[in-house]
Amino acid sequence: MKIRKIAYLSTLFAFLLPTLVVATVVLSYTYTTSTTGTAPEVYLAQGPNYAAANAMGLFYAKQVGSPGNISSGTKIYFNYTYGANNEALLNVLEIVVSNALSGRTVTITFDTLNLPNGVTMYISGSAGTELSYKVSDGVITILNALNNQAVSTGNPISLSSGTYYIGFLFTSQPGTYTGTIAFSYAIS
Amino acid sequence: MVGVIAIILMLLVLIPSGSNSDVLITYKYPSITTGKVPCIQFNNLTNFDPYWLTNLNSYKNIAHMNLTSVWSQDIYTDDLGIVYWVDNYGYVIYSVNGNINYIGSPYPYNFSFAGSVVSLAVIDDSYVWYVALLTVYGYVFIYDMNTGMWFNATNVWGLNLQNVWKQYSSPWSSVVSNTLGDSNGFHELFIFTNLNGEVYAFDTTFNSTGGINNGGWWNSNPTSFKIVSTVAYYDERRNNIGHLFGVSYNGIVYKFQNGHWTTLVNSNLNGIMGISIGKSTDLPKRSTYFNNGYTLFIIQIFNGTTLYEYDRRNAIFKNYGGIFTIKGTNQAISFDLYNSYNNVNTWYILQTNGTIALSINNIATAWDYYNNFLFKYETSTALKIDSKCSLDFIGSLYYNSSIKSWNMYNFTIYFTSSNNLINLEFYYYWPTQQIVNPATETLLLSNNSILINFTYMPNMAFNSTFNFYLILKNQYPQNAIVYVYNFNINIVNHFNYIPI
Repeated sequence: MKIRKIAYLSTLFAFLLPTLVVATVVLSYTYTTSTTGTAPEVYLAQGPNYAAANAMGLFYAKQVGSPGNISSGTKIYFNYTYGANNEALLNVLEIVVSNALSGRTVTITFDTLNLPNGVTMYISGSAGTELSYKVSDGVITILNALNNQAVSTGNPISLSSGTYYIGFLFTSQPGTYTGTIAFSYAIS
Repeated sequence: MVGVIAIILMLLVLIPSGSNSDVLITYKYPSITTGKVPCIQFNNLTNFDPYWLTNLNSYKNIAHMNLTSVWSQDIYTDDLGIVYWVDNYGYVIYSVNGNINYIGSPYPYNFSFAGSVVSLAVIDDSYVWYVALLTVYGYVFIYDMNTGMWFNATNVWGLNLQNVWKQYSSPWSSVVSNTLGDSNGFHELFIFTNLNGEVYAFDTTFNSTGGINNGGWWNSNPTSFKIVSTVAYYDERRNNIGHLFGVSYNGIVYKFQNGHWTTLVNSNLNGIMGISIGKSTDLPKRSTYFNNGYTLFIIQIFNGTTLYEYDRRNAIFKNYGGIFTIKGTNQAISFDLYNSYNNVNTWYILQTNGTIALSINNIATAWDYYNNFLFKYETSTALKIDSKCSLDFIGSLYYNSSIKSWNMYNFTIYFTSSNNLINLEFYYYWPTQQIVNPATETLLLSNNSILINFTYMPNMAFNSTFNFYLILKNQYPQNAIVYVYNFNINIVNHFNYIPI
């Protein structure tokens, strides 16, 4: 059995590295590599209304670094208000697309939005435009949102440079719930 | 097997990515959602039984208020043809030959212990001139027209009607006056009746400091009858016999005799609010209830009805006169016995919204109206919105829906802000069917309050319900936090023993 494995591997290496066999000149290069961190050019951060929501004890997401950003893996805490018919936390987060990416195509995809029933997330439809709201028949409607609807999973969103604001709408009493928000972005 | 792996590895090396992106980065955030007790809450500690009572949910951000309005409640014509009427707040007005005079209410202070005024009667004779108010809990307040002073007759006369209420919550419903059926100087009684038919009489003239002649409890045994209105009549032509009649809302007329109520007749009419005695159409025939030509009349609560007269011969109530109620529901009826002796027959019907219909011919086929003798009442703080938030908020009240709003003549809601500005939030005005909802933004400072008060005047005796949303948003920065609370107001325009 071992002999047969060695035969296969020999064939493999022969296929991948034929030059080792036929070369007449051998040159050797050595490169050193260095790994370090850099400021993200697309990132999630606390929004302009984060401080207000946090002061009210309704929202918490720790931000680090410069520019301030919320690292992947950071826990995001929501506190809805018991008994409220409708409740909105607007512009508490933001996604920043650096000006350095001007001219590039940035596509963001939320692949997981595991929020409790009755909680929806909105992102502003254009850079620099904060989310707003109206109330009709006691129901809050989020304004200036992308496609005038809540964010859904799996749909790529093209972003130009600038800041996109995120808000949350509570339309029921979700109870205690552990969930996940995950997104990826691609630059091309 | 190993060969397959080898081929896969080869492909991975040669074709590093299936996408054309230059960079692909992923983020993943765990989230935790939980609840929090609201830092803005309704505060119902200003409840004022029986006028406004608010129930709150456990988090105090949903409020259901029962707001009992002030409506015109009872009318009475005294021994000399003077007409008095009262609202359930105890405000008394009287008319002498069309000249209006205002007595006012005995309640310049918190009177929740006594309940609302349910009935009015007057004794105006050579001994005393008393205007008596009976409350639903059985308290009696008297206005002495000779001195111009109110006094608490429950205390001064040692009445104990309120103990019946305390014992088994039977509401008191009616007070009338009548000259005693004896030859002892025509002493006059106040006769008090509760919904269960218990009757108490007090002789005001035998000893105005408390003595009772032919008074005391006439019946202290509760019955199953639900008597909402009574009338008494002194029958001079039949050996000074006194009569006391009562009627239930479902139209059964009772007679009080020998210490008991007995059924006189079922009128087969429902929604009966008042009973009176007046001149019969059969006059001077001998078919009327009394030999001298008087009989019983009853009125229904409904808009667009006539008087109903008791036809003793056929033991029925039949239509009498023309339609008198075109301006509202009916609360009470009174007939001017004094002037009827000179064949000037006048019926007075008091309507919920303060309109008084009065017949202007002897057969009640033509009617005139005194309009809107009812004040638009203003509550003190009926409810508060308290904040314990770290931020300042702005509150506004948004109208959502209503049920039978037309039962109110007008209804207004004001907010008083934390910096003492009075803001109009909502206004309803029945004559133009107008709903105005400026939802004025009202400041709610951190650790401070918004005060809510109302003005109101009913139109009909039925209830109105208004549903609102209280929108609360933080003041700075804008568009950060928005709350929607529920606020529901059920306005009650009648005593709860009236089954409507």
